[in-house]
Amino acid sequence: MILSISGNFLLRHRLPPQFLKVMKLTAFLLTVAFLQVQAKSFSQVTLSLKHAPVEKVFHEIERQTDYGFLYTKEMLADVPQVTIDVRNASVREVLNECFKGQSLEYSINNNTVVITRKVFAPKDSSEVTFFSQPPTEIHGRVLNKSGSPIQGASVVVAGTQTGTSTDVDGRFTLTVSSGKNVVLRISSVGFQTKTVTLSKATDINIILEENVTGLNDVVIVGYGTEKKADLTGAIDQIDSKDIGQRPSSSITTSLQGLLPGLNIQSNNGDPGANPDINIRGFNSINGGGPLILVDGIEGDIDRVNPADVATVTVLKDAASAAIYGARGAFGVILITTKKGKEGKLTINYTDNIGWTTPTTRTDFISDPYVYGKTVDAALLGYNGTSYTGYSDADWDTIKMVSEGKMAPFYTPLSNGNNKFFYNTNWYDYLFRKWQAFQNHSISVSGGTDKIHAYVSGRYYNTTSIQNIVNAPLTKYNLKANVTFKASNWLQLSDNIQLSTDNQIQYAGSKNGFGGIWSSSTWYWLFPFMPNKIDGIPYDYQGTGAQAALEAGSNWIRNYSEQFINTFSGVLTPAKGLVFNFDYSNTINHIANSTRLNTFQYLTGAKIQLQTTGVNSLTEVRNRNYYDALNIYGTYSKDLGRVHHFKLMLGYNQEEYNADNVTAEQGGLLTNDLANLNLGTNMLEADGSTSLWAVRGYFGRFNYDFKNKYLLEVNARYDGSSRFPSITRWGLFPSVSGGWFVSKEKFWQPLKNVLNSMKLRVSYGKLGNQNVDLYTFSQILGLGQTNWLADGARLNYVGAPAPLPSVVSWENTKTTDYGVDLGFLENKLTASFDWYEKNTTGMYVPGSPLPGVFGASEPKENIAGLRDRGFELSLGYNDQFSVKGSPLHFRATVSLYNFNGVITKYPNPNGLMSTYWSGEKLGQIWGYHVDGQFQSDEEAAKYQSTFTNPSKDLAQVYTYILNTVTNTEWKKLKAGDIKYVDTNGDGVIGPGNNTLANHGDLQAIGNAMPQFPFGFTFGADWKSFDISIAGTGVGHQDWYPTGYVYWGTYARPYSSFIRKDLVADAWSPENPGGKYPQIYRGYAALQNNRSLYMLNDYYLTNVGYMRVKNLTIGYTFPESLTQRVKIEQLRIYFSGENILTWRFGNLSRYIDPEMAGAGTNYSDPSSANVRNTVDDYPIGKTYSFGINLSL
Amino acid sequence: MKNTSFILLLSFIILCSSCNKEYLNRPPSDRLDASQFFNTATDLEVYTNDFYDMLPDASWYDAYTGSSTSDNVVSLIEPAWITGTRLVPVARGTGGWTWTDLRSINFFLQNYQKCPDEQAKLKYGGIARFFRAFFYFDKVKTFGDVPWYSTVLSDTDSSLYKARDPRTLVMDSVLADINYAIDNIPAEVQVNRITKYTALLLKARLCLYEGTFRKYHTELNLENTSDQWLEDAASAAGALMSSGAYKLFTAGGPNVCYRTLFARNDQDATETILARDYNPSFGRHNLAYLMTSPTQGSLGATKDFVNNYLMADGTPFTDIPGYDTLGFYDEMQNRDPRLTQSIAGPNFTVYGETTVEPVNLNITTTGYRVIKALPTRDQWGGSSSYNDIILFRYAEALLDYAEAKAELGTLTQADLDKSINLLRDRVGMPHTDLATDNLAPDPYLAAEYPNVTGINKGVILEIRREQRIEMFNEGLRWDDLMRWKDGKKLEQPMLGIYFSHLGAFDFNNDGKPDVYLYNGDPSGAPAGVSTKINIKQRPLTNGTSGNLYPYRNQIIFEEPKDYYYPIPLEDLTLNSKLTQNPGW
Repeated sequence: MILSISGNFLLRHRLPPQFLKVMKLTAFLLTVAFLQVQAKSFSQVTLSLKHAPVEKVFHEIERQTDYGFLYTKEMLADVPQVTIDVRNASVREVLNECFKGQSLEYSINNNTVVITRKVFAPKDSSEVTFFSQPPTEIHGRVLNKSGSPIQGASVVVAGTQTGTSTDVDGRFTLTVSSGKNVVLRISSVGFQTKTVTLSKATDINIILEENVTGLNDVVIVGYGTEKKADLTGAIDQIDSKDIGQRPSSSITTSLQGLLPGLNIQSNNGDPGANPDINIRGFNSINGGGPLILVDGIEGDIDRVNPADVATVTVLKDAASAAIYGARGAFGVILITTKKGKEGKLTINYTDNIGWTTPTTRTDFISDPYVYGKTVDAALLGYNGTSYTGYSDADWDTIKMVSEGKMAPFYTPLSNGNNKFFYNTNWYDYLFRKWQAFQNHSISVSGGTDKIHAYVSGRYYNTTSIQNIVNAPLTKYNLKANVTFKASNWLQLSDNIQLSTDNQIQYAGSKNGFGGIWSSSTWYWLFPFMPNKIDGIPYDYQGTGAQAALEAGSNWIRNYSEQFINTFSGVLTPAKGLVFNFDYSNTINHIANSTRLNTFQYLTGAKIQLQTTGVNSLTEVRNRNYYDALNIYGTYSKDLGRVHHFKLMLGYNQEEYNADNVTAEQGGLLTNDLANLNLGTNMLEADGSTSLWAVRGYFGRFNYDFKNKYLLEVNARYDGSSRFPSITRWGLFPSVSGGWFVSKEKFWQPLKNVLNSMKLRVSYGKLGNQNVDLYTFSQILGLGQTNWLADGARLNYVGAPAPLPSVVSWENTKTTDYGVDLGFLENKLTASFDWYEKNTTGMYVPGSPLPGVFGASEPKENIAGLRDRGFELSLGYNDQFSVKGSPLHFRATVSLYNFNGVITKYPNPNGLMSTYWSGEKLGQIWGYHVDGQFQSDEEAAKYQSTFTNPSKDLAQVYTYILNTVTNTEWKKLKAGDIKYVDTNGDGVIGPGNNTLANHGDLQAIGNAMPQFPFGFTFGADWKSFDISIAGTGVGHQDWYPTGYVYWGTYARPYSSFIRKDLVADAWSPENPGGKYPQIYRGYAALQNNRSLYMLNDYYLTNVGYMRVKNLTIGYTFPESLTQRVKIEQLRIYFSGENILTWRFGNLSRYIDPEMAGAGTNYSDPSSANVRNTVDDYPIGKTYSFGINLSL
Repeated sequence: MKNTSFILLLSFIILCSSCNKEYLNRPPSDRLDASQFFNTATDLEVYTNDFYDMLPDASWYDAYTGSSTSDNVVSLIEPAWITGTRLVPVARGTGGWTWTDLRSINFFLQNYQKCPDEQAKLKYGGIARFFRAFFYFDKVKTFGDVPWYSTVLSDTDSSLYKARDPRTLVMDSVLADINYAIDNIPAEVQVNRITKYTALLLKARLCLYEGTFRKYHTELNLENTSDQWLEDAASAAGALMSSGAYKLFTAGGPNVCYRTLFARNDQDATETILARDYNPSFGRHNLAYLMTSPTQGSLGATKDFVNNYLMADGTPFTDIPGYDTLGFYDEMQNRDPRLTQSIAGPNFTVYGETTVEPVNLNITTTGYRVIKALPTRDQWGGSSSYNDIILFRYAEALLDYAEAKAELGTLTQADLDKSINLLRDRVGMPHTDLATDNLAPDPYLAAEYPNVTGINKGVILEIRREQRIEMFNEGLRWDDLMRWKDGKKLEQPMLGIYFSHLGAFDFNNDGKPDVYLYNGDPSGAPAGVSTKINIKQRPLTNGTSGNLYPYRNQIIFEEPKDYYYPIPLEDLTLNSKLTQNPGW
């Protein structure tokens, strides 16, 4: 709304006269315009006037009601007279009638009717202009789309030095000497630059279009909002269009790569698993993830319906997170959801169906001949026996079966055993190639001036990768958000969210459940063995997993329901003053049932029918309850046009309680049912509770001078029940400042090149309460023994852990330097942040105590950690004309990095088994390997250079030298890797495993990701749109571990052996093979074995770049859709994870993201975890969808 | 309007300031504070329940990871303490130098006196001291001298950094603990609970250990104190014997009872004093897998152990000329019935089945399959077994009694008749005779145990034979070798079945070949052979003939170093008064 008024207003009756004294009129009107608060009419009007001046109507209303009017005489000068006849009408009805067809409009604020000139969309006069004789003065105003003036916009006569900038009203005056056409270039930060050709006019309105990532965007911050231009902290925000329509069950994976510094890691492809979320890397040895607030209340990001998301904001530095005090120590993610808007009812429907398939190769060796030869060789090298015991003739038979020349069969031997000649593809039998999913969501929104509402629902269903029994995951979401404008100073709303996750998993084994991906399906699945004989599952020597799957009677079912209700109010008792309160309840209920059952299969060489398994039912019920209360008020005040103040004060309290009940019954009377009532043998009844509460007082003060110098101070005083009363409370202050350098006069010459530049700096201290509950009480451990007496476990209590002398907050001090730049008329923006986080007082075990102490060292607030990093992001927005239609496009690239160092740790003896001061987190210590022996002679010669090889080389070769029982292979051989005695002491080993003496160990790499990055690209042209989002990691070291990678080298009976493993094994015919000879079964199984010990030979870079999403959409022309009353109809194709580039030479059977996900950035102790990739494969998804708006 | 908002504002302020000051006090509602505990008999019982998990689990029998491994059994992967390749552990509190259990026991002993129930205090105080004796007995066996602590240490306690206490002091304290346990735990017969009888047998075991250790380990200069310990051992075992609470398990007769005792699913209190109960619902053990898997365990008894079994007529097998080159079928004939109840004989049937199993040497390192405590076939997979595991049984008391008396020189034929000869009776073996044994000590055994001397040499050797056979694979053999100062015995090659040539062998004398030995090329194997052995990979001692020889590295047992375990490096670094064991 624009107020193009000059002159004095008439102040009518009942408008308090002090209003004028308090504030300048303009500012007041602007506020009125922005707030758009509309009052309820209390009284009614009866009027009958013919050809009366408008003013007369106002008088009548003022007489009959509480309303007063605000307008200028000039305004009404050329307004025609009105005729009006109403009875018991509202003020609005009267005014609407009165202003029909007039050039006036009104708004109502605090019972004051403000009359303004109607400006629906300000007319851009740059296209219809006229020009008088030179030299002349050009007057103009620069406005944004909604008609507000743009201050400080640059207006330059093209090709000259002549230029000026706009004042606070957006006005400018330029003296032009030329008489010909004048070309003006108008630019301003956050807006697209515009060129205007003037031929006549001297008074023009110029409307600037905002950049998509304009600095005028409103950014959500803690307990409020700020304009992006006013930010001083490190904050990033994206909105719904970046994530809303992707085929994911939650927004977490959709956020990957979109926000620099936000780390999202998918550990596996299980649709029911939630990725890890972290902001800016390490914070504390004790771990801890970011605070996630959904509509201001702590919530679960994976529970949010992606279609409901309005914005996602990440508060990265201490200054922006400090308002959340202890809860915000690891960064904050703010999610806002959509709300109803005044206006027409809108119905949106989105439907998405698709299929997921592993990103990696899954064509493991299934040829029984190749497989059999491989596993036989691997076992032979170990103990001289074989699995198959096949003769050459048998092998020929197997070959014929594998080639399809013979049908699979088994044949009995004279001793009652059988021989098997089958061709079973176990992977395809157990796992699906394609998993179908569907996602439907619908929302309805709209409202009147008194009530707004948004209601939505979603149904998501996906199948699992498991093939034998269908094991779906289903999610339901329901949401309702209703806002009442109770009066012009009070707004009340209620936000309800219900979500349900239902998942069932099937597995089962002889002695328990076993996961679908655990050892139960990972071993002993030989392609030359059948999966069934006469329809009955056959399991040669496994634990029966596939038979349990066939029976479908061993399962874990998880029902999880969450209900959140938030009641909020906004009060605006006076201008500039806003009070908010939220009271929220979250109720989580989880019902987890594990049904184990007996099942049957055929087994062994004798094909015996065996009934096995456990008959039991375990029921776990978990209820947790969380409530939060936030009360805060904001007061804004401007002094003159240059000083802007804002003060916010608030109070927060949260409490949490949870209880768990577990019950287990054995010997259920029937196989088909699952109810505790059917049990005959009580196995367990157990319970637990947990409680905590936090309370905090917080405040924020913002000041800016001419929007050029920005200052923000935050403080929070927090108390937590986790600490004893003496150390319970902590104060967490922060300060940040910004300087809009490009708004300075001296910047003007540079402005054409570097359109805008803002410098930011922030410093703050945050605490975290991430310590265990009840650390300060002598709590006796409770549990049940493994020891059984009379067939039952015994309850016990155990000794309490030693008490710490003091427990208090861990503190993190963060410094952040940032700069925001705009180039090329702000089409290109860049943002750079450098930060350092220093965590002190980390609660860790004190100095090591001798083993005779008999317990872990009591913890102290003693250790320190430093995390340094940077974030760089670039954005580009532009448009071209392609074949007469505009092509809009936007692109972003971000790159960041961080490194963690332990600055202090109680480890006086430099033991490398724990942290030490100066330790670089993620650093991998290992041995140096100098290639492979190319001949047995070379290997024997090397072995003989050690005095007592079986001892001197025990750390790395104990398997080969001391464990192998096949004498032919009980020595170093051609193809084995050559560990080097780097320190020349005649022993290959870790020395004392201390910093002073670490033997041959050296730092060989780092498990932390180096230079994670992300990119997006979006374009639309005519009815087509395309968007691409990608992410990756520049470099990350992974030492290959696990069965998928090592196959027979880990265990010869591994079921799934990758083809590129066997193909790359060393043999006299293949001297370039990088793995030892295939006879080295078990060499990668465990410690002290040559392929398991960390070394630089197999250390692999798992850096990658991945197209996380590609979406191509087409929107049907309105001319078509309007005929069937459809506002918008769009169809699209979307692909997730569709392309992956590996930077290192990682096998295509391994997903690089999964390999790198062993390091959880929120948990530094995982930095040295050896991640196996024996898990649910990460999938790529192809989907099709429609968006429909009515 | 302004009034309303003012009232609301005021109520906010009231809301904030009236917040309960106790809001941040959240004491746990599901946990116990130590100060509220130790008040009733139930409290004491529940606390001591925790101690039971200190008792050995199935790995007691488990030659793969447990302490049974010795010269009796060769597993696929020989443990480092057998091969002489133990490494000094690095991390503090590891490698046996673990003290958590002691802290828990001492915490109890420091607090339980609070309970007003005198009866309960005696019983559970006794149980706690049983476990402390058990704990320290194990520490002394492992490390020799160790520091003695009878209180819970705080992190600032200077005694954290004290030197070791002498073995004599520690063992005297252990003796005081076990005597207290015997005097105060009620005499009940309960298979899964510590009773007076369990305490008596532990006392017999530890006193015999200490007595023989001091007698044979002359380097300690404690020989003159050994008799007292041996007398304590004999009197504890004697007390258990005269109590009449237990007798040997004989159900099914000589050819079945011994095997049934271990293979059955559930133990009873006939002979079993303490057993670890397993059942399918609460976790299972892995023992059967180690006896039946070609890739893990693959347990095989040694030829030397098999040689120890007497002939059924009571004469030594090793007296037969050419005993060491007999074929498998022949050497299994007419032996002590415990032999084929401990290892698979020619006509081996699975426990609970009647058909003869095909010969399978692929699941045993030496060819002699271990089947003692092998349960029914459904329990054979990885971690699938649930047969109870015996930890203390009456037979051990009989053996301890005889050995202690023999070492003291006070053994009589009457003593033998009420101990060793009861074990012989159970399996239908002839009695051993004190005079005959001592007249002509068995030269085969004398060579195995060269430290045995004196007038009772012959009977001591026979008692050792009986101990080795009766208690086979029950977790005692390693300790026996250590206390007898017989570590060097491990240096003798551990061999398997003897094969006179390459080619086919009929193991069960049914006219059909079962085993085929070849050198590289298996093509000549007759049909129906169930085991094929390539001597290139599983070599024989003499090339194309001889015994299977699974672990071929020369084992070196260094004395006195290898009688003890090394203390972790970090502990030595942290406590300068702590010294490493000799040789490490």
